[in-house]
Amino acid sequence: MTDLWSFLLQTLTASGAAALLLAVKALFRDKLSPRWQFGVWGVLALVLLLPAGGGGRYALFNWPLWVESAKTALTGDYSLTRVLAPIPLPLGPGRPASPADLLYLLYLAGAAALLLRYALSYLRLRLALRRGAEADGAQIRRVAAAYGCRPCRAVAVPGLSSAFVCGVFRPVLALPAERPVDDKVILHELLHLRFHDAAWGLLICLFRCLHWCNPLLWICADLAQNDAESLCDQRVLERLEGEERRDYGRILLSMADDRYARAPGTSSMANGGRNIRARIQAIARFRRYPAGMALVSVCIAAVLALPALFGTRAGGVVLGSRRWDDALDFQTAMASARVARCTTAAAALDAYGKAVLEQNGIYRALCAPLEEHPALAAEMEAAATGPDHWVYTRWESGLPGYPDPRAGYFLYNLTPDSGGYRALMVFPLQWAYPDGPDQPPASDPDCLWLASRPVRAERREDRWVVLPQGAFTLTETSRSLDDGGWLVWGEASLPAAVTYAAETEQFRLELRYQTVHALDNAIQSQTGLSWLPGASAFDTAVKPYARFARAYASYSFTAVFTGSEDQRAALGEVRYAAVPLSADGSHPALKYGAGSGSSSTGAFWGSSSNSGPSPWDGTLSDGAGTYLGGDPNDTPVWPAGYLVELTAGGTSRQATLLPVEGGAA
Amino acid sequence: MTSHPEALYRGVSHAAWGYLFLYLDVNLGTVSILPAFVGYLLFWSAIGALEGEVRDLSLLRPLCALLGAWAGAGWLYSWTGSSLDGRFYPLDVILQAASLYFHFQLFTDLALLAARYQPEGADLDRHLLRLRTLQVLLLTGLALAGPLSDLCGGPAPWLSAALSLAGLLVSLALMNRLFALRRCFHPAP
Repeated sequence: MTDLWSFLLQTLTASGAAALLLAVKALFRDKLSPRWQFGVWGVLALVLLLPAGGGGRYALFNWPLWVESAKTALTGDYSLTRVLAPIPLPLGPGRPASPADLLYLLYLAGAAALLLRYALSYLRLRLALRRGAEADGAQIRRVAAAYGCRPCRAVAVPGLSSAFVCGVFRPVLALPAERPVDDKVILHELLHLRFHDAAWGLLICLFRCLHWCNPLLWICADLAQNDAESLCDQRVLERLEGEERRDYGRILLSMADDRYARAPGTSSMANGGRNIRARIQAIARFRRYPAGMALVSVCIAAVLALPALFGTRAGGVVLGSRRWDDALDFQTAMASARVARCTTAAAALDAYGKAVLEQNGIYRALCAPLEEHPALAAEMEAAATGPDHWVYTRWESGLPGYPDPRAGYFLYNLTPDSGGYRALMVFPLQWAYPDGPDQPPASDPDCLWLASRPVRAERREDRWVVLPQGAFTLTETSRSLDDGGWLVWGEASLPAAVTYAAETEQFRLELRYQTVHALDNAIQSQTGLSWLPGASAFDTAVKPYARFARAYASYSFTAVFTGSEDQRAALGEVRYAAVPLSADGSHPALKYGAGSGSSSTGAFWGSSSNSGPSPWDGTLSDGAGTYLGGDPNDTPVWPAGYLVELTAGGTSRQATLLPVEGGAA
Repeated sequence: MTSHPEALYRGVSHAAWGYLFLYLDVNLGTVSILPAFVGYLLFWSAIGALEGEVRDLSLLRPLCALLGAWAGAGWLYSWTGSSLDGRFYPLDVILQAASLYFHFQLFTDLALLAARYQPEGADLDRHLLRLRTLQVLLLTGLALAGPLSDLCGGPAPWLSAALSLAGLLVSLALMNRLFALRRCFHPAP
């Protein structure tokens, strides 16, 4: 904890777990054993020891979102609160800069003061015990031997109302000097010693110091210490028989009016009248716990522990009331974009694509580096409060046109790049502004315009972010206006992932290779008749944990005859066959099938009689697409090259096409 | 025997039929025609009939009321076409814990009843205890499957399906054993 907000996140997360435990303990107060009642506090102890909000997860309640929203609303700070350690760490260098810093200093001072008070109280107690006389150890040894406990040094201290154990490493049993102590009281204290209850008490005191201003955790600390006493009672009763048990209850009853001063590193049988009454009631229930409860006790503890310790992933961005006229909604949405991080490159690229499609700055924030959040927020706030009164999410991506929300986006040529990925994000447009946004749009129904932008996805700490690599480029395709579904099979007017080329006798060869990666973004729209499937639509909701569902690969091959027209006429029919080369140079067998075609190995073939106009103009062209095999989330591997064989006039020529652009040179 | 055989017969019958409503889920649209809250009403009635014989059963009344009330609220809400599942996650966790204890304790007590009244040589009580243990492990597995899937980065539908199938088999076996226990209290003609 390094600032007020990280302390709040930690203490609120613990409060959520504490509230859950209190509710469950109230439910099972008379049903589960004192062993469970005390042991289940271990869940809260672990929650207190684990830094809250790790990995974008939250326990039970979405405290990270609430803390982030409050921080942004109160201070305008768009940084992400992180809990580095469950203990307070000093404020960074320099003077406190804000009221939040001052409050954090106040918290630090409170924790230090309480720690000091506990330490002094413990030292005073040890000094008082030093003044006590060595007690007769015979009774202690006898009781310890009778019940299989470890004896310890004992001192008789004048003025004590009841016995207690003091110390964790060198424990001392303090006994009242003025009166004899019952064996059962000794047994109770020796059992505290055996089960290290003083150490648990010390840990509880440390938690009190760390969360001194959280009353709920103080209540839990009180209850946990009372449960430790009840558990010790249970252990005593398990070792006693018949009348001795009733005697033990009477001894407890006699302590109901004793003064109780809780000190760190001690355990005392007397813990106040009200608590003793509760313990006597627990003793009365002693026989009512049915056998075999251990299994269900462990199962219940596991059901409570897992969500309290490991929590839930933040579900996505919170778009508030969707009225978007409310600054608080906006701050909550921005907070959710900080808390819910993209855990995969696919999710970050998807969020960027949808941010552009929807012109949604919250989506953009989800996949933007955290240091860009203040500028993004300022841009959106300026748009919302400016003369045009845009909605608060309005974000200007620079897209030179209006996208088609039915079409979504297409992620071309995903390529590994220095620990991240680069790709080309392509948006089919309903209409484009080739001459700039101030000029009339191009709205030719016979032409589909594409806007594309190179992007880079990279990991920043525990989130994937997307960084645009240049401006959008407009491309006019030869296809008529549609939803661009065919774009998964490649588009010649867009850049290639890899271009392979080679020159051979009388031919210049080129093969352009493209890939498209896609998430599962199809949703079925509702129809009036619920049993009929609705039309498929593009899901524009962001998915921070999504992975690629499919990948497609396509190629376009051209072979251009570079000889004279006479030579071309003399060639007759030209046939070609090509196969991809793997990195070690191996390849499938070259084959010439009938007409033109391709196989699942990546081989393809054709001839001048079916790959161009008749009479042949000297250009061979071919192309096809296929699903990429394997897991689309694995690093894509391109062919190292292509082996092409051309056969004409009874002569064959072979050429190896190697990458000249993109891929491995 | 501190209760009438008729009361014991009725109590065990209600418990057995209660599990039918609890575990079998037949829906018309989003609305269940075997709602779980009816199961808890039957359990409530069973507790009333049997608590004179097994004192610990009275401990289950608050849990039965809580689980039944939530099941009833969920059933009413299902008429709107939605579900309450997952809307109040901390409450779901509390209810899962309550449910574990409730069924564990109920079968512990029913096994106690079986041990008292089963015919000589019958193993009904041991069967019930074994099935109770299996049931509590399966319920725990189902409760943990969601958070574990979330922790591991994705849902594991096969795990939930396997646990649900095993749960169905165990519940059928439990109902079978409860009807067998009921025969121990069959009223004389």
